[in-house]
Amino acid sequence: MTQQRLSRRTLIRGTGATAAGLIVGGKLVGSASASPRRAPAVIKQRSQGGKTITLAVQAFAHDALRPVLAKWEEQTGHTVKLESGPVTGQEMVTQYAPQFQSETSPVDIFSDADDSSPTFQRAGWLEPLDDVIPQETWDDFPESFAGQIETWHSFDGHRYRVPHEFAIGYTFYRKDWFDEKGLEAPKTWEEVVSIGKEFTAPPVYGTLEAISKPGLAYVYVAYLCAQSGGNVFDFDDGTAEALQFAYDLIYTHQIMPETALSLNYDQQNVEYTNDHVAFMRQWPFFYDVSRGTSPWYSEGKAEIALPPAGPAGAKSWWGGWGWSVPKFAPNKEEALDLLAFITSVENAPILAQGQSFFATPRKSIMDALGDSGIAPAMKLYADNDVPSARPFHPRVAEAQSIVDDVASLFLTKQASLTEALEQGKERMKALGS
Amino acid sequence: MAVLTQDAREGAARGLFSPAMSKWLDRLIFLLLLGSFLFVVLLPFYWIVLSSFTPKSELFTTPPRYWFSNLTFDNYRALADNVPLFRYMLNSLIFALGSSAVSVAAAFLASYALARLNFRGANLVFAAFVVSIALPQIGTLVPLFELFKNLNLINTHHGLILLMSSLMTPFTVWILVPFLRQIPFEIEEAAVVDGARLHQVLWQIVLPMMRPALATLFIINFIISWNELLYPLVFAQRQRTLSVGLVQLAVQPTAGGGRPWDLLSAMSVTMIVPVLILVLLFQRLIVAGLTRGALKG
Amino acid sequence: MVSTTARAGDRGAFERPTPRLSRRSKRTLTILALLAPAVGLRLFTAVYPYVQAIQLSFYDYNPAFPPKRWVGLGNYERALDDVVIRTSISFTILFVVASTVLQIVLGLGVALLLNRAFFGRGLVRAINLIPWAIPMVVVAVGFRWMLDPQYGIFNDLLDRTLGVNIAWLIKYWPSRIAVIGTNVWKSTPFLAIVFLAALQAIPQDTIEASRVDGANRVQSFFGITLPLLMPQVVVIGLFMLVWQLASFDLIFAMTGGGPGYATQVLAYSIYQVAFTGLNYGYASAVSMILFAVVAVTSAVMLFIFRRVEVTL
Repeated sequence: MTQQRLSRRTLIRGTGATAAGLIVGGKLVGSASASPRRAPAVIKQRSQGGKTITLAVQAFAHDALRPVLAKWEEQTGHTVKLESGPVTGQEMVTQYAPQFQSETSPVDIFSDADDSSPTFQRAGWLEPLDDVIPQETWDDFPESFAGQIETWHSFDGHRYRVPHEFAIGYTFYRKDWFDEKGLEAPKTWEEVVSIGKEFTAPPVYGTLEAISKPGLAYVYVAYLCAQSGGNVFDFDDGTAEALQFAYDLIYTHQIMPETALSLNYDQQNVEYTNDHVAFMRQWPFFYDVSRGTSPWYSEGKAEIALPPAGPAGAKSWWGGWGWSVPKFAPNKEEALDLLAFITSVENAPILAQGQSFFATPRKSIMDALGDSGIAPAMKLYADNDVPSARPFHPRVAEAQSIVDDVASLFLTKQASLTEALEQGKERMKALGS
Repeated sequence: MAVLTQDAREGAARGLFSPAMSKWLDRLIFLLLLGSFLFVVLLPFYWIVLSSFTPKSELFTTPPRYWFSNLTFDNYRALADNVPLFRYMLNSLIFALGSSAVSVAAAFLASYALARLNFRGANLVFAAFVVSIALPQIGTLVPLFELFKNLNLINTHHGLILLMSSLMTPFTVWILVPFLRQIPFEIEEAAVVDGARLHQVLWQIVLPMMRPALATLFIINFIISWNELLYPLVFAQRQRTLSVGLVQLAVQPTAGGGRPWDLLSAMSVTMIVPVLILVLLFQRLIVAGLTRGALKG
Repeated sequence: MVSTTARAGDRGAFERPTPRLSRRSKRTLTILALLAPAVGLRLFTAVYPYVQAIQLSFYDYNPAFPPKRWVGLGNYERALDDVVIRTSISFTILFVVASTVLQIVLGLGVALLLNRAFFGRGLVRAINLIPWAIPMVVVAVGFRWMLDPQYGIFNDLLDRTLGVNIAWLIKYWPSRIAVIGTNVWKSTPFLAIVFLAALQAIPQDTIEASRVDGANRVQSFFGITLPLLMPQVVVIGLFMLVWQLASFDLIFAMTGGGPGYATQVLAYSIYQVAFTGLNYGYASAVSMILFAVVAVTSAVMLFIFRRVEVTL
């Protein structure tokens, strides 16, 4: 038991060593542990209770929250009303921006996406969390989170969001098929092609990715850019390499069907569980989806391997959702208290055990999860220095949609690679920063 | 042109077909057209219904299924677990009934003034209505939100109804004006000469004659608002309608699930059924209105 | 349209002086009272915010990137340089005009079909409304699946009958045809019921009379029915043009404007500009461009429609 824990500790230290690789912009190094202010040890005197706090988070995560919320309700005498929150950054902005803009808020506390939070922070619509979240909570995050917390959760020296999800593109593969052929999961781009060809016999394809607009084309190109070493928002040579690789998978080597260009994740996953795909990149949620697909699922059908290495190594970018309190929340004080409560070292692991949406490689969570669920995969990726920072741009949502367009233009053969990249550069320039 | 497209009856007149034969042919063509119309309209709908009763695991098969294989209510059960259906439905109902009633009423009055009361500037007002449709809804959201906030109309049913009925009013006026013009006005004229007041004319003479058109527009506006997404999404987070609940399922999350067709199809069937019931009920009203109008005429 | 109004005005019922309505001021009051609710609604929720939006279109205004700056025509220049906006203008026009023409033609056909007396007509008329009653988002997602080359019912039928299989949504023209087709399927019934209501308002004996005079079905349709329906056709045609120019949900849920920008429409561009990046100033400028496109398109269509009316 002790030994097990020890090894986990070393793992996390190992993760910490990779911090430098994860950080966007050298100036931000190490700031996660050097938190601005120390939070008061005792949370502010509680009000007398009886208020109703509205918490918005994606509906599937409600059940996992309930036990922890019940504890808080009991302590404070308030009640928490759960609402199903927006599922994308775009929808988040559509729903909340006009409200925040008019200095109102439909919610007291909400789970916010990477592509909306920077905008909300810059607009001054979120409440700073510096005084509320104890240092203990920040220290619970691995050091490798420092850069991401600085770029995606903070602005102007204040923290505005506490990460609760660790979304990284995992490589899922058919270990049963690979074993049969005596193969191992592809370790390089070259192997992606050669092994992909081994399996390709339509309708079965070597690999598959949902590359449709809006949003999904970006995810894939950014993933390939992490491996090629390109900066996706610069449309540089690395980006060109990534796009060309995707193109070749579809048209040159034909180990990915052309229809990938119009798929969404649900369809991609169904293809996989219909035994049509040998290996693919997918978000962590596919871990639960695959295991929940009965009677199809049996062990070995959706194992997780390290991603294939491109010119810049075996990388995969990560991001995720986090908790925030709107500046105009009707019950701000209580909401801040609740936020500190659900992200605390005691409660975060309880949430993580109930729902992978709340699982981050926090020390407390890794301890609690042990070898259950997706935790071993998290460790595998961390140990091998796979996580690479989510590409940042101050106007991230717009920048991402430009990548979406460029990828779609090129991959559907409407523009040559040079034309597409040129257009991307021009639009990025018009966007400014 | 017409010579080239002779129909069966024309053929009969020239002696190509016997009258009985031409009648039969006429019927056959009609049934063929009706059949293909029904096929085109119903196939996608049938497919949505079929999906909503198919277990999620069987939604994707090659070739696709054309018939109910494993009838299941799981999708509806899952839907009921995920979405407070009853509350959403109630909100949708209040919103749609209110909006269509207000828009039809406002448009009825306005189009009466535009169609019957000849006044200077009528053309201008009419043109202004026309032009105001061209103001894209989406361009006005932000200023509107600030206005609504100052008037305390956010998250209220009546605020939402105001927005929606305003959106539909110009179109309703547009349709009603030519309708009003088709109705002979001798009756009104006679009533006015007999000393009837305006509200009496409107209520007792014009309204009954307009009933089919008004009922049709009520249905149209009801459906438009029932399915309206943008306004409830932005202005009434606390009075969520079915359409808002639906889009929550339908938007493409970049992480975590994505367009769950099992729930989406079940939810859209849930949304369509009340509308269909309403349409069937109102279909009677339209017919009744027509016959009454004919009797009076 | 405007001229029709004038024509009708000549025969206003309240034109001739009657004891009760003779006084000018009272008449004005009546007119104002009748117009007030409708005009008030429009002023309140469309005109006022739009005037605000015009003002906003001259500013670089993004709440996430303060301050708000006066940029004059800067946003308009940027829009005309923006490859997405430029390409979306042409597809917007194509999408809307093609959809409207098809909807009118098919809508008339369906209305004529459903105007005949047959058993179960009430039910068929209700069925006719189904496409219109299905939420656009569901139609978009549903058609996306029906068009799927592998699992889609539509492609399967094409394959079985004609032996073709098209990857609709990842090719330039097929994707455009697919969104226009979906849109036509969705909204034709709406036009059909308006035309149907108009048809029912035409006295049956007018048509009977022409038939007795020896006109065949086609002749009586083009000679009698269509001219009588023309006001509705023009009105609804213009309405559909304008309405569809501003709709974005089909594109939003079906293609996201893709592949590339093949199916990008202006309204969806506005949605993206306003709600991916909170560029309120820029979004307002693009809204004004959309408004200009609407105005020009409707003027052109109005011109065409009136010529058609004359030749009939």
